Order: sequence, then structure tokens, then C-alpha cells
Amino acid sequence: MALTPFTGTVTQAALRNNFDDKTTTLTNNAVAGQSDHVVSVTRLALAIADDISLRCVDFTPADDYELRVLRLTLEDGTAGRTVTATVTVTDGDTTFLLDKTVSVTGTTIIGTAHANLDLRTTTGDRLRLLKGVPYRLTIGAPSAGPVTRAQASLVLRSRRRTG
Amino acid sequence: MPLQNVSGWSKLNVYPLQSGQFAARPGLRRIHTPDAGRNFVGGFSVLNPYTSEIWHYLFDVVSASTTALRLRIVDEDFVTWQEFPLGVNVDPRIITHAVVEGEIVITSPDFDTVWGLIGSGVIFAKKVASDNPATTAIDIPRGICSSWCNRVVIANGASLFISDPISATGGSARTFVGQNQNQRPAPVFGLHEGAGGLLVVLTSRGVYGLDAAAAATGIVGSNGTDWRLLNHHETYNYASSANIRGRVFALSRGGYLLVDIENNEEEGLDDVMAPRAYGPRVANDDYRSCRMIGGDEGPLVAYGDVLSVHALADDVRSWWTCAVDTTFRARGTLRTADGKELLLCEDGVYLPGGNVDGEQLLSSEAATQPKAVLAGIVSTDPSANPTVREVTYGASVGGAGSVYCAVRGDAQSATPPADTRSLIIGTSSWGATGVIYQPTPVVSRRLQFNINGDDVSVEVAADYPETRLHVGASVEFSQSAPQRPNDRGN
Repeated sequence: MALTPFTGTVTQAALRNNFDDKTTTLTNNAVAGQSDHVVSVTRLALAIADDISLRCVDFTPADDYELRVLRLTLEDGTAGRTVTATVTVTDGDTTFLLDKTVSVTGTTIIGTAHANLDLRTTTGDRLRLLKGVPYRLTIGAPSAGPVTRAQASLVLRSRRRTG
Repeated sequence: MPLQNVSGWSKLNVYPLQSGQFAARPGLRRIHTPDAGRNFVGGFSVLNPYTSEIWHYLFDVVSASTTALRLRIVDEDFVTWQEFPLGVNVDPRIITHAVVEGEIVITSPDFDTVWGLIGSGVIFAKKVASDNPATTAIDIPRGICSSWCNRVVIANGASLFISDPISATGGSARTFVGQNQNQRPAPVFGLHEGAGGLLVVLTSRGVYGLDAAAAATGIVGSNGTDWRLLNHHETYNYASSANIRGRVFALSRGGYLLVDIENNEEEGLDDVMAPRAYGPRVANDDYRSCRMIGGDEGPLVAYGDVLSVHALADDVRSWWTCAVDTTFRARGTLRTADGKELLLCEDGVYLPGGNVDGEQLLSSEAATQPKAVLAGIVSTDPSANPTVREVTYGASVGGAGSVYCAVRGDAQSATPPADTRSLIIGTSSWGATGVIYQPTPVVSRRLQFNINGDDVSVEVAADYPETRLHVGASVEFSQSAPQRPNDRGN
């Protein structure tokens, strides 16, 4: 659908066409007007005894963020070590995550291993990290250590406002 | 013959203007439809208090089999965010919700209670341990619910369960304890937070109220606040009551009435009993089995494919019909991000506004547009045996539609010409010297009849949404016909 320039006598058909064009454009822009963000934490030489302060990041969303994917990347020279990345509410209140455990576990290989928790499917678990609530993304201690590099990241999406 | 004031006549697709005039109801634009093979059975909108977003909670079932009840959470653009199967094959009798401090509880007698966060997803509700070590949480009941004084109240049968309040120091909408259970004398069919925070409970043995003061203590009512019998009205169906700005209305045999105080003033819903040419004559032996919905301006009553819309402030009530699809069965209301009320019907979400019925795009105008109809009886002398010769009526149809009149079901119509004082799309120029836009004027047409008899039932009607309607109709009679014979045959 495209705009029809008005010239001279305006026809009913041209008016309707341009109204429909605007309606469609507004709807499409509204749906497309979303913005993705990433929150990540990286720990080199992740050891079993690492203090949590070395392997977590706390953040407080400035808007409601749809939690889309939790990713864990592990890089190591040894296979078979497991690491878990977890999202929690900083003070431990599970209400703001709908009482769900949001975590993904990866196992090292010789090289780089990836693990994903995909929460994008509308028929599956759906969560948004709520504005003003402090959350924490944590890389857990490895099952056997150390792990050369561990990175956990969250893909978040905010929506545009019309209100 | 005198001018007939039609403002008190039975109305179909009529809507009041603030100026005191009448118009045909606004156009209904279907802006969202259910997924293929499904139809909506309920829904509501909730404003996220922290982000000002609107979230729509839509419930649908498979149309053909009434199975697989599902909750679909969609954003304000109707983009699906979560689909949550409720695990039951049923058209729920009622779906209620309560919002407390950013948490939402959704209940029905027909599926397990659902809990979630406004702006996030939902899960089936599980009990949360009480913050008070002296009380033990019980499993979350199902039933109907309402928010009340920062608590959630759920009624299951004759039992009422009141949650702990949510406050800065703790408490959960999912904590129900045995101490906050209460029994009413009969099954509960309606729960509302009424004026002044009064908890209004509609049962089959009267309407009861509990003041907000009762919630001020941990164990509700332990401070001596008593239940009061507000009204002796008996309620026998779910979805047969509604809260309109704090006042609670309930369906009755003949219509509906206020039930949060003793009251016998009933709003009758039946149309005038008379032959009809335009639209259905809506009447029902008992309206209590209909569906009552709380609208912004007054109660809505869904009865089959017609919907009663009442603007309380204007004291105008009319039935609405709509032919965008094959059915028009209202199930609830939604709200846009800027607060405008939407109608949720089984076949889609309708936005009232504009002068045409159709889908979202103007290119999808419905083939059948509504006709605003007023129907009434002209009182005559029983001995007169009058003959109606003319009915004159006016509306602002502006060349696009017709003005209609009918006497005892005999219909006549006329299409006034387009009026050059109005903007005519496709004809008028918008140049500097062109016409100036103004509302289409009301134009009257005189329609002729030759209907003789005592029953002078008259309908006047006009095409298209938002057409202004004259508040008077002129009915002309010929000279009196011979009077009725008396009982002696003279």
C-alpha cells in the first residue's frame, strides 16, 4: 500500500487508501519499534573457589525487558567440566521471576562450547525482567576447575510505548 | 397531528450525544480477530502501573468443539506475548481477575487459578507460606475473585477466601489462610469492590456487604466489623452483575437494577411490543441468564447477538446489533493504551468510533451497515379508528443513506439528496475557495401511508453510524374513519 498524492478534487478512494496506508504504517512501526539489549558477565580463569563478586553482575532494568535468551559460552582446554549460569532477583525474592529457575548449564569441550536457554517461544515459559527490580546474572562455580573463560549473557527486549 | 417525541421510544443502534441529541451508534471496527478456528470467550485489559503499557488477556477456545481453553496475553498492538493453555475443554461460565500491587490473579469456577505479574507471564497459582507464623496457608481456591483493600477475595460456592494483603512489610496475594475464610448463607455468584471499598457479595439469598474497615486487621473482621444485608435481590448466575464506578448492578427478570442498596427501580430491557419492520424486537421472559458487563458509561447486557448499551449519565439505553461478521456476541471489554473502551466479542475486538462498520482498514467496510431505529406507539382515542397518511422524519444521512418510517410494520423509505453545504468526498474541492466542512445537516422526508386501525405503532430509522437523528417524528392522520360499532351493532 502506498500514499496517493492529493490533487484537485479528492476522491473517496484516494482518501480511504491514504487512511489505510497510515493505519498500516503505524501498526507496522509499532510492532517493529522494539529494542534489544544485552547484559553479560565474563570471568577468565573461572575457579571453583572464586568469590561470587568475581563472577556476577547486578543490574536494575530501567524499563520492562522481555527475557529472550540466556546464553553461556565456555572456553577451555579440558572437556567435561560443567558450569551453570543463573538469573535471580538480587535479594532472592522469587516472585519477580514467577517462581521459575532461570538457568542454563554448559559443559566444556576442548575449544568453545555454547549453551542456550531460549525463552522466545510464546507457548513456553515467558518472563519479563521488571522495571526497578534488581536482578543478578551469575556464573556458577565449575564442577571441576578452572575454566579458561566463561561468559554468560542475557538478550533482552524492550518495547516501545504508546501510552 | 402532533409531533411525537421519540426520545422515550425503544431504541436500536442509537447513541446519545452530549448535546442531548441522538445519533446512530458509532461505527464498530473489528481491529483484532481470534486465531483461525477459535473464538474468544472472555478477556480484559490491565494497565501496567510501572510502565503505562496495556496488556490484553484474551481467552479463546476451539470454535467447533468448545475445547482447549487458552489464555493469550497480547500487548497493546495485539502481538502475542504468551499462550497459556488452561488444560480444560470448556467455555468458562465467567472469568474474573484481581490486580493487587502489580500482581494479577485470574480465577474461574471452570479452571485452576492463575497468577502472574503485570507485564510478565502467568503460571498456575501455588500457595505462598504466610508471613504470620500463627497462620498456615491453604491451597489457592478456584472460583470468582475481586480485588479488595490490597487483598484478593475468591468465592467458591458459598465460601469466601480472603488473601493476605500486600504491603511494604510483606504479604502475598497467594497466601490464603483458614482464619480468613468466611461462609455466606448461599452460593456466591458475584464479587465486587463497591463504593467506599465496600466488598459486595451477590448470593442466591441476597446481597451482602463488608466494609473496608474489616480488612484493617490481619484476621478480616476480627475488629468487629459486621456483614450487612444490602439488598434482598437473589442472584442465580455468574456474569450477571457488574460494577459501574463503584455501584453494583445485577440482572433481574425484566432487566437490571442497583443492588448495593435496597431498590426496586428496575431498568426494563424489553422493546415495545408492536409489529416491527426494521431490526429485531428484543424481549426476553427472564434476563437473568444473560451476560452483564461493566462498561465505562453504564451496564452492558449481552443477549444472543444483541447488546444493550446504557449511557447512565444521559439516561439513554439502546440495543446494538452489528453485521461485520455472522455473530455479535459480547464477552467483555478491553481498553486501549489511551483508555478507550473496546468491545470484546466472540468473533473479535471492536473499536467503537467513526461512521462505518468494518474491519480495521477502510477498504474493508462491511456490506451491511447498521440502521438506527426508534420504535413506539402513538396513543389515539380508542374510538377514533384513525388512518395514518404521513410520517415525517429527519436524519443527517446526507445523500449516503436513507430515512425510513414504518407504520405497523409497513415500511417506506426515501433517500435525501446530498446537501451541498457539506463536504462530499469525490465531489467537493478542498481549495481555498472551496466548501467549508461542517456536519451534514438533518434533512426530513415525508413518507406516505394508508394504514387504518387502532394500533398506531410507528418506527423511524436512518442509515449509517453516527447519523444524527431527529428527536421528533410527525405522524399525520386523515379525517377520522367511521367509529367502531358498539355492542348493539350500531
